[in-house]
Amino acid sequence: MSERRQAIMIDSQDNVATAIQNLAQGSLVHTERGEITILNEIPFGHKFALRDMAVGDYVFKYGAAIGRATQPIRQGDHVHVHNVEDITDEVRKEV
Amino acid sequence: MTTFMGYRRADGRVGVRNHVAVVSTVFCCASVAQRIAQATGAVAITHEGGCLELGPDREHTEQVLRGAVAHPNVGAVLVVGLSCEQVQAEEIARAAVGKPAHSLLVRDEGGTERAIERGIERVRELMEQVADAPREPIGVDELILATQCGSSDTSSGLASNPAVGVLADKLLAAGGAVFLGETGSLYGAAGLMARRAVTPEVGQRILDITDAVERFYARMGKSLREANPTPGNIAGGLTTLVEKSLGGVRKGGTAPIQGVLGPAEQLPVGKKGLWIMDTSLGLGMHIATDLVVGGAQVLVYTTGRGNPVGSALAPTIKITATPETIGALGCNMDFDASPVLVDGESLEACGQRLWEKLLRVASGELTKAEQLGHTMFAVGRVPV
Repeated sequence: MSERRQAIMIDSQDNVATAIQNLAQGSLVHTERGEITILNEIPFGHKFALRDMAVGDYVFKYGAAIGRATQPIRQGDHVHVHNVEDITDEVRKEV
Repeated sequence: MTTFMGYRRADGRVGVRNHVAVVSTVFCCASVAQRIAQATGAVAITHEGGCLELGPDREHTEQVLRGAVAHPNVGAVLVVGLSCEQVQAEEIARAAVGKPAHSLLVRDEGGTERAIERGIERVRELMEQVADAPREPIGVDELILATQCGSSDTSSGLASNPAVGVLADKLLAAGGAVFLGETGSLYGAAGLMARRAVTPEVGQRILDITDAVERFYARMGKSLREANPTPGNIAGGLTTLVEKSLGGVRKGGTAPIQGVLGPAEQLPVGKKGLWIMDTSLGLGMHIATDLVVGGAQVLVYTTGRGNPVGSALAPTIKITATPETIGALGCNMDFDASPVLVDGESLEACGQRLWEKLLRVASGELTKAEQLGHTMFAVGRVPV
């Protein structure tokens, strides 16, 4: 029996998963990385952390760095524009 | 080797359709070509180009028209011209090597209505000539798959594009080829894509083509970098431009990038693997047309909110993972990827279903756009 999945992890290297339902604060979500307690409400399509991150740590999705943490992030935290900065220019320069 | 049923053409390439194409050389005879196509069931290959096109812009238009008539999905061709234009009907007809081809000029025929009558006769003759062309078993290593997305929403980057990526990786593992275009959309992922390139030169080309688009916008005081992600994207959960671009390029899969083709440049015979095509400032069907003329026989097109249009030259498999779109635009969708989001289907299993769909479509199963007649051919301008 398959139950409706709550979050999707695209690549095994990712440190975030994306909610595919609205996830309530306090809910326990099953992911490929185990059970994660959601610390803030995560709307459909938004990301939450699969593990703790320090300021300056890279956020990984699609198996690649998509941004950098600007605040400390705890496992289960909402990961979005309030705590992540874009790294487009850095990614282009590094080649 | 997995096979599909395809048409072997005189130039050695393989097609998945046997279209009779009615092509117009310039905008002034497009309606004549369309009327001939409508009356006979042939495919109209029309565009809005005209005689003021110069330089790379004109070269691109001619390259697209020549590439369209030579395309392996086309079995026979009628080219309609006016008589005074720069792009000569006879020349375009000659590009249809190894297949029956005619041209006619509206002026020589004595006006539009006579040209339409004559054109209908000609097309019916051509249809009879190619009606019995046989399909034969062809290895999937001869498939070139074009990929595109449009009207994307959150589901596109989470389910549809990754599922197409699984499909792309399967085709590449079987020895086929895959095209990834939409140059502007690559911008945030360009550095990462460059690192996947087989040589530093290819990597540099990837950066150059995306830079060129950003520079074009800069001249107008705009910026891809600053405009993305959009407020709508952010509300939907996209945090950075890198994330947005990666969600798009995921549909090309994870393989190394063999090279970068120019707009509508044909993949050299014998070349395989994942290729990026610079579709420059092309939009929507400009992109689809360029990718198909480059040699792709099938277009896989992911959509979130849904749009119904497909390529006139190549069957277009419309994929969505948004259940509301299956509801609202169900008659226009070919593949439902929503089980990935709703039922816990793995991306692997979804990609396998899509692979089976691809083989059926390549072997003749009609897509919704083909069945319902919502196909389009469009030529983009190449910026001065």
